Amino acid sequence: MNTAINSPRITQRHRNVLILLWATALLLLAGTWTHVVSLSSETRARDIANAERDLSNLTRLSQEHANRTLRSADQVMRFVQSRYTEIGNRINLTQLTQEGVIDTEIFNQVGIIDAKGIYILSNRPIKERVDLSDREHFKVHKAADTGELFISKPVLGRVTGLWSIQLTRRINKPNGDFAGVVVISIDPGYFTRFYGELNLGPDGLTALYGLDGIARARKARSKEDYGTDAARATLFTRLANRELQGTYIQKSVVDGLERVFYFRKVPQYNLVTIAGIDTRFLLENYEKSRKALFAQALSVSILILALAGGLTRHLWLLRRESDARRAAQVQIEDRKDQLNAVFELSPDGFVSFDRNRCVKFVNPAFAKMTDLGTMRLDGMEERDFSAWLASLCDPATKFQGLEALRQKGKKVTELGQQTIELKELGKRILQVQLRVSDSASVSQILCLRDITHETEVEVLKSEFLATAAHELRTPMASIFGFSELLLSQNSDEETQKEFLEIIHKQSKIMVQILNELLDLARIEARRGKDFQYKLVCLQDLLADIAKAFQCPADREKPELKMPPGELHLWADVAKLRQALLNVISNAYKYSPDGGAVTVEVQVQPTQDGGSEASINVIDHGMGMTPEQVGKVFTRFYRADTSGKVPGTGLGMSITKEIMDHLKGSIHIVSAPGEGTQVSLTLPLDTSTSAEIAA
Amino acid sequence: MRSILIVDDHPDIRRLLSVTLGRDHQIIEAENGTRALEAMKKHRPAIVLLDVMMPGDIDGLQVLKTIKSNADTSATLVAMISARGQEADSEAARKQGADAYFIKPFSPLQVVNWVKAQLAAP
Repeated sequence: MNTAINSPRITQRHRNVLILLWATALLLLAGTWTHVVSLSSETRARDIANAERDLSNLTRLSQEHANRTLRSADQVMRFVQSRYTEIGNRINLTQLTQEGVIDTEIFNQVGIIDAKGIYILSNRPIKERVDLSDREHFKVHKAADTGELFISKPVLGRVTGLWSIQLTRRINKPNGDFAGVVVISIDPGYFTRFYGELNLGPDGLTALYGLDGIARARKARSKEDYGTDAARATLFTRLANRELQGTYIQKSVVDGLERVFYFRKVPQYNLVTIAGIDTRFLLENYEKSRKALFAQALSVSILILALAGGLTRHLWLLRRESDARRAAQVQIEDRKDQLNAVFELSPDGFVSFDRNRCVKFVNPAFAKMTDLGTMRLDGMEERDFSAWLASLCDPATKFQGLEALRQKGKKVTELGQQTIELKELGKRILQVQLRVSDSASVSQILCLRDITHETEVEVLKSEFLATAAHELRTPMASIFGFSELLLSQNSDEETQKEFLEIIHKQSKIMVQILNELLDLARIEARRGKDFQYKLVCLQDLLADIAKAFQCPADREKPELKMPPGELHLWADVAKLRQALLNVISNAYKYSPDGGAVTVEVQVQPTQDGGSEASINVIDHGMGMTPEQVGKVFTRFYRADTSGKVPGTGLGMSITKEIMDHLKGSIHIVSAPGEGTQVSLTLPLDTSTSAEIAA
Repeated sequence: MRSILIVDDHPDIRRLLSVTLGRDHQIIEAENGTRALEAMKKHRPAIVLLDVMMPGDIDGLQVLKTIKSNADTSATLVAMISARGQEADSEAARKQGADAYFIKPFSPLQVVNWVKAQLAAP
């Protein structure tokens, strides 16, 4: 079978296809996800970059705003400082405010603290004495003259009762001693409210921090608060690195929200403006689209996996199916081979018919049985086939036809079979049996068995039995008849004696027949298994037989013509003696008119390099016609028709059986009126007879 | 005295029958078919006791057929004596016109009785 070669190749191909399939699927998955992730991160980066740009612009504005505000505040302070130095307590701040020198929209209050820390002058009425000597913005200037503007942390005003950032400058006496401080209070919201209209989201943050980390103004989630400490924020690290502006993303140290920040230092002042957008707000759209994208990618992935899985399963099923088909095919091939062999080699004839009951196949045995020769039966219709087969039959056992056999087969009590005898072709006897099939291509099969031999054996057996019975009845008739006469008649003594002698003689014949029948049956049944082989000297055996042979009273003993020396052969002595005695006895019986009976031994080489001895028993008696010679070995056949020669007709049959078992042969040459030569040929034992044979 | 022809290839059987019937009848013996037909012509026996299977060219059934088909001899009573004891054998003989069929071994007394009965009949 070529299956052994095909199978692994297909498996290999199958595996390659699977590998390719899954590699493609994984590649697709990787591509999809790479694309999705890069798309997503690009979007995120773009969104963040946009936000940073917006924040950058925004902080630039707020930087400008803070700078301008502080500068104008400083101008006012410098003006008030110089006036106060000039005119002292006579400076009328209220009047200056009304004149528009001091802008009250930005500045809550402008005032002066004297050297002792008492708030002495203001553009607003002072209701009571306020001591501000403990305030930082006072203490800073009292301690040293830096000549710089001081921007305080947001404080709750003791004068105004509002949150404010105090901007202060030192006032010196002409000698440079500390004379007091000019104070401008600014609403911190002024810095943050500036962003009010800008949409930074619900959690957006804008702030103005001092470099000390304390928020001068801060607005987050639309809520303003002041003085928040954010010294730990990344912002201050960045500022410490002398960066003047920049962006970063950080989780707020104040409220824990993550934001994108942009910061700018306010030039000339220790301030920094910062704006931040809550990343959640910023990336809200991005997150939504990312989720949608991921969901899509997930769907695509599942689709790819399902597709690959489905294809794999399909391939697997295909392969299983093809495997099964191939296995079935192999099985069918095997069965076909077996059937072909059976059909080819069977001694029985087979004829199969297709669905239309036309001849489909005829096996060699059938062709031989019916001597088909070159005749073709293929496609012949059932009726024609039946007629053809019937024409071959002996009229007494004409083939009934397939239809009749089919009908017969349907009955429970009968088999769909018939025995036919052919007219010619050796008058073969065939048992014909029809088997109806349900298969798709074969409707019925006709089987023909040659039972000629069995039938012949049967006939021979029953004929043998009839003949044996007949042969036994004849002596029995004498025994029965004479004994009845003895019992019923009063015969004289002489007659009685004669009758008894006949009875005795016929009894002996009966016993002889029975013995010979038994001999024959035993030899046949044992098939030579009870033969006891011994190395026999042929000359000694023949001499012994000749000496002991009881020949008729007026005849000479058999004449022996034997080569000198000893010829040895393997044989059962008793059986060989029986065979020889039968032949010698026949030689005397069938030469009633006398003449010498000669027993002659000849040695000749055999084809296989050995040698054999022929024992020729020659008489000069009545001889036989070739037809009679042909029947010699038939049981109970007797060449004598005169009834004068006694015998059972079994002797030569027994001799033949014995010779067959001794691996010898028997050959008869005879002519009527001239005599007969019976030759028994046996292989010699070459190891002990070789010299003589040569 | 009417004669009886005994035909059988076995001398002992001929002897048995001749001893059995010899006291009251003249006995003629023949050892085969050819001799039997010769004896028929010569002696014109009233009864023939005929063996079926005999060696030679003419067997018992052929002798029977010849006797029964010949107008001169067709009235002769023929009893077949055979070692063949099957139904078909006796049937074949009766078809040829055999008057009796004895199967070997037969009882000599029965044969005597049969002969007596045949000859006593008018």
